[in-house]
Amino acid sequence: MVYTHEVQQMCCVQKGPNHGPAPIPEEGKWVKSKEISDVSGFTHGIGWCAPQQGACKLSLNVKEGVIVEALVETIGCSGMTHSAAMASEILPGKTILEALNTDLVCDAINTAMRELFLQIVYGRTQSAFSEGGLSVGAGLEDLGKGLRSQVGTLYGTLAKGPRYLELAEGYIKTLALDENDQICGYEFVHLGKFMDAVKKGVDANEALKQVTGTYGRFTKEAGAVKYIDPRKE
Amino acid sequence: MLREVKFESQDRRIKQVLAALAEVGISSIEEANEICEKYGLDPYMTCETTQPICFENAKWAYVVGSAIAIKKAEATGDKSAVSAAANIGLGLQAFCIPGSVADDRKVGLGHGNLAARLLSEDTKCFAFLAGHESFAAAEGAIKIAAKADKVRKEPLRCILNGLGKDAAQIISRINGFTYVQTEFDYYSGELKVVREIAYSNGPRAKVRCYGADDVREGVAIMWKEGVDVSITGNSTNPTRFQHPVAGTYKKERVLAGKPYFSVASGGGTGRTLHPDNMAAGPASYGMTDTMGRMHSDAQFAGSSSVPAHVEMMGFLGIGNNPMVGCTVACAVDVAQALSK
Repeated sequence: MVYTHEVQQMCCVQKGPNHGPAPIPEEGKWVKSKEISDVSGFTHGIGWCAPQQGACKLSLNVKEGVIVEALVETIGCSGMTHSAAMASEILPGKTILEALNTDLVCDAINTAMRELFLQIVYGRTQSAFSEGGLSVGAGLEDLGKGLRSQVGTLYGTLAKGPRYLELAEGYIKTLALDENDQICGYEFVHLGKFMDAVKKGVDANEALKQVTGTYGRFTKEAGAVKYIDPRKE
Repeated sequence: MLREVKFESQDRRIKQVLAALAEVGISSIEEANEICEKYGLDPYMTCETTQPICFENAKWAYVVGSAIAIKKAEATGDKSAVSAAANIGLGLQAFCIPGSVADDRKVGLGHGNLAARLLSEDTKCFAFLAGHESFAAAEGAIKIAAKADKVRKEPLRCILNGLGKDAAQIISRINGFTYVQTEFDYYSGELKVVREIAYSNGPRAKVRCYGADDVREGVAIMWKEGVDVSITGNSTNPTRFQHPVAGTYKKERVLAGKPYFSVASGGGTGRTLHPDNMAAGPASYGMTDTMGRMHSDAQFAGSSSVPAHVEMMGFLGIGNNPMVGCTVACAVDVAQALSK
C-alpha cells in the first residue's frame, strides 16, 4: 500500500467513533458482521433474465459464509432447467462472495444469487430468529411431499374464460362448474405422491385413485353442475 | 388406524413431545393414537382434510394434542371444548423445535388459547383478516363453520375480510360461502351492503366473505360485524391492509371501551423480509412483524397458508389459518367424544 506524497505530508487528525456495524439477526443471534465468514442463514430469493422469459427461485442454506445447501427452481424457459442442473453442483461449497462472481450459466440464476447475497449480508434471512439456523435439508422440506416445486399454471381468455391447469394440490384433471358455468371446484392429481406409490409397486391405476383428490365444491350435492377437462374443453 | 409414526424433523421434536405426553401418563405417540382411537377420534385425518397439503408433523401434533386433552379431561372432570382446545395447544407446543421463533413465541399454546376463545360464548364474531390471495383462510373457516356451533349455545359468526372484491367473490364461490358485496362512502364513512350471494345452502354459507377496496372500508367491515377476535393472514398485502386494519380497529375499539383480541399471523410474522425490504441499511427487520407487534395480543410465526413456511419457523407444516380451524375441530371432537 502506497500513500501519495501529498498525504504523507499531512498532519494526523484522529478518528473518533468506532462502534462497529449495527448487529444483524442471524440464526437467533445478533452478530456484528465484518467478514463473509460471519454470515449464516437460510433464505430464498428470486431472479429473472434480461428478456424476462424465465424466473428462478433460489434457496440457500449458508453456514459461516459457505453455501452448504442449494435448491434451484426455475420456470418458463427450457434452457434454464439445464443451467439449474449445473448450478446445483456449482453452488455448494462456495462462499457467497465467491458465488457472486461464478457464472451460474443463466441470467435468472445469477440475479437470484445477487438478491440472496443482499438478503444474507443485510440480515434478512428466513432463519434470522431461529436458534442455530435451519438444518441442512430444510430446502428439500420446502418442496413438500413427493419433492416437486410449487408451480401454478393458470390460463384465461376473454372469449372462453379461465382454465386451472396446475395448482398447489397438483395437476388439475377436471374443473367443476356451477349452474352459472363458473368454476366452483376442481379435481387434482398429486404427481409426486403418484410416482412415489408407483415406485413402491402400487398398480398405476390404483395409485392414481389414491392420489386424486378434490378441492372446493366438486360434488353435485355441493353445487357442481358440469365437469370439464381444462386442457381440452 | 395403524400408521407408522414418522414425521419431519422427528429427532428435533421427539424429546419435548415425549415429555409432554409423560406429564399426562402417556408413554409414546403410538399410545396417544390408541387413546384417540378408543374414543373414536382420528385427529390425524381431521388435520389432513383441513389442509390437504399439510405435513406429517402437523397431523401427529393433533394426535398428541387430542390425547393430552382427553387425559386432562379424565383427570379433572372438565370435559368442555374450551378446555380441550387449550390442552390441544400443549401438544402443538411440544412439537416446536427448541430455540425456534415458534418456541420463543409459544405459538402452540397460542393456537390452543385462540381456539378456546373461539369456542367460548364471550366471542361473538371471528374474522380472518386476509389479503384474499389464497384459498387457505377459507380452509380454516370451513372447519370452524362445521364444528364450533356443535358445542356453542350461541352460534359463532365467522367472516373473511380481505383486500379485493373480485377475489372475495371467487373464494366464496369455490368454498360455498356467502359473498357480501359492499360499497364504502369515503365522505360519510358509511358502509352499504350492495348485495349478498350465498354459494351454498349448508353451514358454509354462514361464513360471510367481504372484499374491501382499502383500509378504511376494511375497518368499517370490522365494525359492521362487531368482530371481537381476528387473525391476520397472508403475505401479499400485510403492510397495506391486514395490519393497518387490525391496528386501526384496535385503537377505535379501545376508545369505545370494547374488547378486541387481535392475533398477528401470516407470512412476514417472525421473519425479516417483506414489503419494507429494500435490502439496504441496518435496523429494519421486517415491517410486517413490527406492525404485528404494535397491535397484537398474540403473535404467531410463518405463513397463514404455506405449510413449509410455518414449519420453517420451527412449528408445524400447516398454514396458521387452517390450523385455527383444525384446533377448533379437534377440540369439539374431543368434547363430544367425552360426553358420549
